[in-house]
Amino acid sequence: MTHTTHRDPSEKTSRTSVASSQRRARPRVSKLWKSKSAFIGGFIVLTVVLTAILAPVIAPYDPTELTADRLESFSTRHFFGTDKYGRDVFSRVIWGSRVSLAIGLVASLGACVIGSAIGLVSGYAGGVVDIVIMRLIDIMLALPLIVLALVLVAFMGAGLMNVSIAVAISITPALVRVARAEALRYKELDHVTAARAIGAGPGRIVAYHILPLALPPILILATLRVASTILIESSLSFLGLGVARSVPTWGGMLSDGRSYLVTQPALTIVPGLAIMVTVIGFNLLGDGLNDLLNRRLQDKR
Amino acid sequence: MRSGQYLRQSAFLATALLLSLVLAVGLTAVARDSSTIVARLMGDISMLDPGNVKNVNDMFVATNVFASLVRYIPGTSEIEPDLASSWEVSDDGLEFVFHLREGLQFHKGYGPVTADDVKFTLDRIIENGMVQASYLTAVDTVEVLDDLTVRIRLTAFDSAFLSKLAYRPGFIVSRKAVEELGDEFSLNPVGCGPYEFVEWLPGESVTLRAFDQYHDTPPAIQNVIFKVVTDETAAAFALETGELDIAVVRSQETIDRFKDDPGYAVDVTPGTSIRMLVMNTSREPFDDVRVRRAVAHSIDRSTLQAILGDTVVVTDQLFTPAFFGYTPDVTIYDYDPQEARDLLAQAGYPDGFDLSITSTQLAPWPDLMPVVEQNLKDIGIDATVNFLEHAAYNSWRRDGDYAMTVMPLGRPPHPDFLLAYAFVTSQFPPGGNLSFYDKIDNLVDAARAEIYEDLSGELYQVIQKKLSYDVPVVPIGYQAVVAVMQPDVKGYRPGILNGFWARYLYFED
Amino acid sequence: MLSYLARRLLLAPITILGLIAVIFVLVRLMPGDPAVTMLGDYATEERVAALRAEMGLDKPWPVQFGVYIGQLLRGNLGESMRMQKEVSWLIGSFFPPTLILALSAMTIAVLVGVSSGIVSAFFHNTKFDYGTTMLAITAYSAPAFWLGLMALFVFGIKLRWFPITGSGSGGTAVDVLRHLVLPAGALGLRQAALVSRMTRTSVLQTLQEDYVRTATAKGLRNSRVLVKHALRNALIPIVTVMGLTLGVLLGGTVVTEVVFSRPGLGKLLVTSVTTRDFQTLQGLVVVWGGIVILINLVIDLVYCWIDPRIRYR
Repeated sequence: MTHTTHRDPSEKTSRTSVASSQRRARPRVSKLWKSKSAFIGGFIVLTVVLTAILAPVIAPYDPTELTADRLESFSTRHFFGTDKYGRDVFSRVIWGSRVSLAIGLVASLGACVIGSAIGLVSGYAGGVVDIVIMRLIDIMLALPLIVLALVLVAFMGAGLMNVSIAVAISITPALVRVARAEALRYKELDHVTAARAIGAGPGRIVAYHILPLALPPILILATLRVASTILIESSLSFLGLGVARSVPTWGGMLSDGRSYLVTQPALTIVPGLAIMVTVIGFNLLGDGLNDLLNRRLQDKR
Repeated sequence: MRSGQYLRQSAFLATALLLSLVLAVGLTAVARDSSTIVARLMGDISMLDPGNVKNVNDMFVATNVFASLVRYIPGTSEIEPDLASSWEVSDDGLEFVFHLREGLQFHKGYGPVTADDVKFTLDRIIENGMVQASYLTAVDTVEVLDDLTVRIRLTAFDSAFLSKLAYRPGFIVSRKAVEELGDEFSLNPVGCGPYEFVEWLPGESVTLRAFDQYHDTPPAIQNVIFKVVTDETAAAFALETGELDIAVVRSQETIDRFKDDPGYAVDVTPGTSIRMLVMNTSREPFDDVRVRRAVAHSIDRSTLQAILGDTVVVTDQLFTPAFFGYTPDVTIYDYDPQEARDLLAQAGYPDGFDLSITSTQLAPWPDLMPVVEQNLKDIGIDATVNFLEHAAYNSWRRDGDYAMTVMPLGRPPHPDFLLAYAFVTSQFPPGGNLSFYDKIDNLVDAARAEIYEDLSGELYQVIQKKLSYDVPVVPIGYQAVVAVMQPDVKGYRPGILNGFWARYLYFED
Repeated sequence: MLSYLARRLLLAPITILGLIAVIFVLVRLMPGDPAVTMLGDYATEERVAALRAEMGLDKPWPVQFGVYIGQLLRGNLGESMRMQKEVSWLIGSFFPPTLILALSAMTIAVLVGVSSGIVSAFFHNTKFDYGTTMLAITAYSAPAFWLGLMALFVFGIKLRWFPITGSGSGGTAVDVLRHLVLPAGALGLRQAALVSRMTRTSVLQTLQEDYVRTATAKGLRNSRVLVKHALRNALIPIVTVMGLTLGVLLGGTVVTEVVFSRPGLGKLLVTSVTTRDFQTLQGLVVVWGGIVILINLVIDLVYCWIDPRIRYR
């Protein structure tokens, strides 16, 4: 959340100098807190991932099975009650983790791969290529995330694949920026220059020399973005543009359960909590990793 | 540390100040004003020019601002006089002479309602090719005989003509207002209905005020505010807090919430907007009537009704008793999966076949298609449903390239509307005849042109029998019009065709 | 700084142009013919063709694009066929409520965020600090519409303190404020969390700076130190975030307007998407994007002005 975004060095060098003075002053205040967040975050994320993987085993009921026990409240048979079709809420939340996580990870990963590729190329190549790509990125960043996602989903239609793609495209620009910044940062390093001298092609250089160094901040941003993707997906479902209705997603459950807020609040509160906890997990993890990374860099200086 | 205390104090003070400010603003609650009723609009209005009105939200407002020569008795399919006090029809049925009442006035001082305004209204729709012109194709000429008398000549008798006049194309507009306001007329309409248009706050509300020179019983409630509340849940919440006095709702959840609650009144009325499965009779496999009958036998309507609840009245017939010429004596296809399988085998599909169905995402289809899918699978048809967003669906179906699809269709309760749109060859896609059905063209024309009502009714009965026998479409149900209102709102008459008649409403404790 | 200024000023319109081009193409590739959608059930071949010609859809794309740009330069955003109104009028009508909502939310975000951030920084590592941090993380991690829904439920339905539909326009100023409290609060709370955390970090670091310590050692009273030095420097990153915040808030209005049934650009956007009203959609994206680009430009310039270190690059 409060990660130091690696800014484009060519534009805002002074900000980086402020940032380094920040780092100097940090350890005394935040050491205790920050190392915790990586752990807590990691723990939460692990739990969610395990839940998703083990869904068929853990869930007591089939999430799409319609039963006659509609809109039941908390009971021993149905921990969190049932929805209007008689489906067990607990099972749906568990299975919902699969879809929400899948969209989150796939979109993040996709955006990561494509974003880093574009960003690294842009940063390393420089010149016209760089300018054109950065302008395109600026265009994409001009629209708020949800607006971009909305337009894309309208264009492609709803459905699991399309929503993932729309979400991935929405978050790619930020990753491109980071990757580009990293490429610029490492472009003039000794071993890179050396590799160039030997005659290594640009592709090789980017892949073998720059990428390994650039990867950590990119991955961290991607981790943080998983949180965003989950939130965007739930917003899209809320607006009626998400995944098909029979497939349980947390966002979809929130949208469906809304009408029963007064009579059956569990239908909205439970998936909302699930989203919140997962998002907290990814945010903490990303934050923690970010600070571990900063500290490592700091030690190197 | 002194500054610490200083800081804490100021923090508390600031918070306290803020909170009290917020509370003060919040607690200035609004009391109930019995001269105003707040009703729900399901979406914002786009245009109120009756020649072009087609969206349900526009209709809600338009039915209060405008009046026509004749009108439906609310909740029925019968016609009664409105602006016209009487009319005569010639023996050959081709001439209608309407006598306007005396003393009719338009809103906002635009003068009396004359035969010239009637002529102007109808002519402008036809000449400008407005959206409603398709209802007036039978009209040949409109003549002004004198200030209060107008003669309409038809090219052929149309037994549904009065219905059409009672519907949107018949909303009489003021020539003076249209000529003066031009394009502005659409968002500042002038009619002669029970309410005058006051203002439109875009995205927010439409305000109407009772017209003191309305010719019929004046409305009991002076002001009507139509509040735009698109979201069903928000509408339910607004009903709870009293921000809405009456709301037409579409979702079963909302209905369930208020149905058994003594604090609210709920009115459920079946409408005339039908939902049906359509099969393409011009190609395999649905060119074989046996296959179509198999599908008809496979639909489990009791489960459908359970899922759809009150929002849809599930039916197995194309028309309801509210329709002119209705007969219950048609072929009914019971839920009989075994019979269905036998029929398929007879038709040469003992193992069934694969089927792709395209549907719109508009309610209630997403709720009912899973059941249909399952029903078809049970008789061996491996069906998969593909949902398109409604706008995309409307475009897609114009190509006519499918085996099976769905169709929502809302028309007045005169069978000609439905038949002329969906079952004649001139309406093959891109028109509305999605089933490519071509067997009743002559019957439809004859029924429409038949002057004698009894004969016309008999012809419609024949048509119904034929349609049920050939089963090019499988009727699923009729959309119900459901309204929820505060307990002191009385007099509600459901508008089966997207009308909302505020003039019948009144408050009573 | 002048060259920096010039460069940024030049880039903005190019970016906007690019945005227009992208949305132009996207909209025309969308499934669903807008003419058909508009005519609905009454669409016949001839009517559709006539409408397409009237909307200019039958010309080749580059020509359409040129026409559109020409119109744009004259301030004409085209006309929405669906509403028979000019797009500029539509956007003009719905922009103020959205802007008011976003600005109110931002005000709340800044006020609550900065103050809680400062207090947190002063009492760092105390229970108050941890508590606020947990609250911040929770607020930031919950879906925006969920927060809105909870607020609506608790304060609107259960407590009946505030109205839950509409924006109260056409009424008194108090009416408008009443309708604003819940949506702006729900919307602003998430950003408040972000601002709070940033403020806290920023203030803490500034307090650690040598010059601050020196000032304290010299004997200046803490409150004066805070106001004169720490705050000004601490607020620099906040200003940076403001531009981003406003952009995010503008996006958040989309969902908030639906939850609270408020008129605004967000609703218009969703409606124009579902009804394939592509003139409006185009206009909306252009205006929206243009605003965000402009805001970022302004923020960048303000940043330059505040932080003297950059000025003399």
